Amino acid sequence: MAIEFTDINKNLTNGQNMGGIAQKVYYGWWDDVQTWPTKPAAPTTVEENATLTGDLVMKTGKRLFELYLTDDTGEFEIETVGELDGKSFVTHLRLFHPGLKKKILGFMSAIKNENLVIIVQDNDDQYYLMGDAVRPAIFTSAPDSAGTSRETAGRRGMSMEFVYKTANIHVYSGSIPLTEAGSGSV
Amino acid sequence: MWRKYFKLKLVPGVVITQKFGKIDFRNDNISVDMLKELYESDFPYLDLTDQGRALFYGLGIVTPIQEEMIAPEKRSRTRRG
Repeated sequence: MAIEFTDINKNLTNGQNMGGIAQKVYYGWWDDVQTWPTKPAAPTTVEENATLTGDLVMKTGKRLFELYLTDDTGEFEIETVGELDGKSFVTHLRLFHPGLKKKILGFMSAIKNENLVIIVQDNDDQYYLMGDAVRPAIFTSAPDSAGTSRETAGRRGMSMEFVYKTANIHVYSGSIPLTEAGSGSV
Repeated sequence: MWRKYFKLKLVPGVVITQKFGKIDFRNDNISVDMLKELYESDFPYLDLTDQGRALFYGLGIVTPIQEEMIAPEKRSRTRRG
């Protein structure tokens, strides 16, 4: 590995370092992606090593969609897994969507065993792509309950957790198409 | 206005870009300078029109010469003998 080390200082832009994620995440079918941003092939700096290049481009007629989440319920966690000489990461997205409307129930039924791509924006305006050309993001569980809740003061809705396994952690700096790709979009 | 200079490779609608935030391509009044910057940063959904190429890069509008416009040389087809 020929990555140049550098001093890693506090480096908070304007002192900003708010926790949590934005109140929307973006999702789509993994199969609907035409081209994926490129992972660093031969990075020479640590920052390059954390950067995806290019855009996620959807197939003709396909797009990404928004999913609303209750504030302070969303979390993007980076878990290190594996044994000695076999380390990698599992990223987790956890969130709570309020209400039990048909849209969210139908969504849960549709995605529970399927492959997804998800883009998460944190509160420092940094984006993370869950999914790549080889591995999708998948739904795993409802970690903070799903249903009516017990008390009248309880929270009615669906919690969800999605995971994506990756060798390295990257930041996504491409665009998010919320409208259908036209023909010849690549 | 911007459509004179750019072709959009999407159904007109919303795209979130990290540099400029949410852009609604249904809007007619999008900054041409902003779109040029996006185009130059390899944004995959924009292409230049001939007018855009001429405006931004001074490239003239070239009309390819069509074959049928060139008069074929006449050959003498006289038969002897």
